[in-house]
Amino acid sequence: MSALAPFAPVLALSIGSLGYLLSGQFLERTRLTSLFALGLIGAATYLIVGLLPMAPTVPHGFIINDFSKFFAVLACVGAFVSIIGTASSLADEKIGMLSEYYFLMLTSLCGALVMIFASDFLTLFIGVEVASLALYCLCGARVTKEASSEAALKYFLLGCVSSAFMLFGIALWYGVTGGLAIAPVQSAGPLVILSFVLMMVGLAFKIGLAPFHLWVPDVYQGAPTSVTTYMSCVVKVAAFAALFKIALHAFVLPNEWAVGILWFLSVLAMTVGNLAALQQRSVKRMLAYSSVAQAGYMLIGLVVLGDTTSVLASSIFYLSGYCAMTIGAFTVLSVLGPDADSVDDLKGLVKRSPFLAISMTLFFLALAGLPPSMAGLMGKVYLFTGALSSKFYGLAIIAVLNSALACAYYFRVPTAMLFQAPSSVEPVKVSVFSTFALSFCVAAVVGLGIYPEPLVALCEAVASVAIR
Amino acid sequence: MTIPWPPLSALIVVPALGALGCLAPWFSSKIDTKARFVRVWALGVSILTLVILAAIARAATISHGAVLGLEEAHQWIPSLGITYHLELDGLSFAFCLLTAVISLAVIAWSAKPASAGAGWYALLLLGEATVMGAFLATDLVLFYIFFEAMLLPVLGAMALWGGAQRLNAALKFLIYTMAGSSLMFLSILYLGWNAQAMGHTLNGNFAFEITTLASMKMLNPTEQLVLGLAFLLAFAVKIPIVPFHGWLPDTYREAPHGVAAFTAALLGKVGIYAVIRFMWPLFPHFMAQAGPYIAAAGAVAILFGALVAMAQKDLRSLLAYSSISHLGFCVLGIAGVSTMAMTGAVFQAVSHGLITAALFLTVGAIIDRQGSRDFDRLGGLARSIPLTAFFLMIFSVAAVALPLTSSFVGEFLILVGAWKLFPLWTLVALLGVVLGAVYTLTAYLRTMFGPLHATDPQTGGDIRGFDVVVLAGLAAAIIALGIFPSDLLGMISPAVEVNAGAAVLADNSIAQAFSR
Repeated sequence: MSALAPFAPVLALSIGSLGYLLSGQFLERTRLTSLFALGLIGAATYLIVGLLPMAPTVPHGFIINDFSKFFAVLACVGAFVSIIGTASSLADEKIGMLSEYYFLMLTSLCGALVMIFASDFLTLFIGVEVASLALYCLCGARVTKEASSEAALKYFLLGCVSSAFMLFGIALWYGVTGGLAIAPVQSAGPLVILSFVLMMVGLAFKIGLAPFHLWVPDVYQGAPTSVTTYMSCVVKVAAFAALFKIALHAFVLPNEWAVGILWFLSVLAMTVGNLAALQQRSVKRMLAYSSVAQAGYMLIGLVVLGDTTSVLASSIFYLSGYCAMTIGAFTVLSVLGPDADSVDDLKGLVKRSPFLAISMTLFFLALAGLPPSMAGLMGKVYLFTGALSSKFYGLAIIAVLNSALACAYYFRVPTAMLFQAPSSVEPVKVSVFSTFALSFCVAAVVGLGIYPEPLVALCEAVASVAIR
Repeated sequence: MTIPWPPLSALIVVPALGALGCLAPWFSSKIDTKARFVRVWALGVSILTLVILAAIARAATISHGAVLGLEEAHQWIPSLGITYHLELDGLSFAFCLLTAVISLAVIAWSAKPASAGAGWYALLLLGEATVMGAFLATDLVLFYIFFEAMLLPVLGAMALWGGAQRLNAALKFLIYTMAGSSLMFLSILYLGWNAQAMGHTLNGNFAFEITTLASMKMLNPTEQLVLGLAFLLAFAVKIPIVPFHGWLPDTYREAPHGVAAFTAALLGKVGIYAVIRFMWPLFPHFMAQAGPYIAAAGAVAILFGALVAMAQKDLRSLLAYSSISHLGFCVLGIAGVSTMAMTGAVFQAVSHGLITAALFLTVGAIIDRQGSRDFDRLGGLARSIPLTAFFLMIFSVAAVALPLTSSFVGEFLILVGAWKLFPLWTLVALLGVVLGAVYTLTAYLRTMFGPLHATDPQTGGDIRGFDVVVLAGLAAAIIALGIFPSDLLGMISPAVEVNAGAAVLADNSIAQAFSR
């Protein structure tokens, strides 16, 4: 039994999710459906935090340390909050079968956890595929809407190509090192560089880094809002965990060529994301491009990785804060209804629901990095100081100019909500579940700004494990 | 002197909590009592803030001699080296006093946008809290947070209750200031990291506290140039210094009168304050080099503002450009190491705040009551609204710096102090004084005397009630500062010497630069 202990959270999730398929028809359309999923995720989180033994290397492809535990908990909490926040809007979205929906969501979370815990490339790849396959289906879960199917198909086709890139990278790695473990490579020959580039392409696609971001706006917009809420956090967390792990443990950053590639990816993502977001009238597309840009900021930690751990820690801190912002923003959209998308739909929201409008304003201010929700601002202080301390002046200047540029579109949504006349005066009903999720996100974006010390300390610890 | 209990925080916390309190009646059912309650509450809060400020200053000056110097310091984020550090010295005190007085005046002023309710007072109090924070913070990150935060209440009030083009004006204001301050943000982070890299900080973390940073003398001339330019850009947009004033006409035209008064009187002053407080101690070498250029920008602003103001047909636009012109004196005053000019600049900033706010409120009253802001449609008003005319007369002569008004003292000190350093630019500024008298008095004559234009007598009521008290209070302050400036000057001047003088002593190259 003890041999299975490291796999307990993943097993709990996957066996539990199978329960949905078996008993789905009995649970269908009752509140129990979502509560069961929440219970499973809660149990998995408890298993991760409480029971998982520290195992530097498990023979079966799992590595369990503070780094993987932190990311796993982050993914679980993100999934938990996004499921609570959007559970009550599922009926409006005309999701086909709720039991299938939750089965897929839990399976995808399972895959994400495998990605986070994986200690060899094969396990990692299996995790990526499990998470992605479930998400492809979820994107098309709104069966009555064409855009939803389009999003699913687009995500699937492009996702397969990116998987192929990644697999080829792994194959090259196997060819060079003769093994699949994520362990430091001895030589830096052209094949290793090619392998790194191919794996980066695969992961950059999953994260949505420019120039591999073309699916992001269409999928974020076409997928059901509840799925977007979920994937905007969980997929990013898992893919960043995999990226950090590969870059730090296999290719042993910092080394010159890898830093060059990552520098370019980071700058391209933030610039392209922000410039494209400037032109959007659709809030979902705006948030999608903004996620591309924000991913660019998060990559800074890996680019400038100097002799200290604090730069990587700042990326992890920023990622955690970003999860709260994006889950919050998409949850507000999902509460507004399945087709709420354009900035015009948000006009005068403060008259219809002050709580939603003020929460959304706080999320957008946090994304823009402005007070009073200072999670974003503190994250930027932390990130940019790190970039400066490793003498990446150009990167820091580009990043800070980008975040000034981003204000131009981030303010569009609060402006519409607070200062423009509403098209209808009908009050918006916010369910207890959504209120809870939104309050949690608000507390996170405000609290992380006012009192970031505990999370900063935790991130430092996590980063020091990752770098070793 | 460090104080254990936080009365300095009270200057920020009281108005901030007051702003939250304004929103409380949202939950009450009686609509009628709401408006009156909120107004009384907001007035009470802003009076309380003023009283706390006065009490702190009084207690500190009695217990600590004539020089004011209070600090309040807490750890905030130790691992990033960010502290919660507030300081009230003579420099901060002058600006905090201005903030408290102006906020009180704007809140007490009865005319507010028709649709504005509790939110109006909440945003004004929030504005007071954030501006106060910017004047007190000595940790650069904390200062930056307040520097950005103070924009939001003003933008909010403008976007809610401004003119027809309010959203565009607000967006323009936002983009200008964000673009201006983003590089300053990066420079602040660089300073914090540099302190760590030089090993000058406790426990090897970053440091953002100004006295720590300034005492280290760790920046070489190139760093001072780059960082100084980034800081200067942020403050040049905020003050504004020509040619970074693009946001100002739109903002002052579209904002509601009270918000325009608040913005004109306080927001730009943060820039003036920050140059003295942060830039001189941090970048003495850069400031010595840039001084002549800054002085030139100030002089050009004086002349440019005056010339453009002469061409205006709109009363509010005239005020906007005359504000640029008068702020030019402050810019001239902070450009060089002369205690006299710098003290004069601070004094002029306070005086300009009082006069501009008073002018915006009075002109706002005229515009509201006459239904026009165009010179060609106003005229001969002195007969129908004598009280307004009387106050406008006082504020106009104060604006042109007639003796016995506060701005005479400020401009005189600046001109005398700057004469030794920048004679050419001082001459240009003198020309601006003359032009200022011309356009201000012409505007007064055209609105108050001359033929009566088609004005609907129904709307043409005079100011009354509380508003008279507000204007009388502001007028009294302006004249009192004009006749007895020595108390305030005595507070400002030692603090200015500490900030700029220490820079001179530390960096001999400045002395050389000026002896040449």
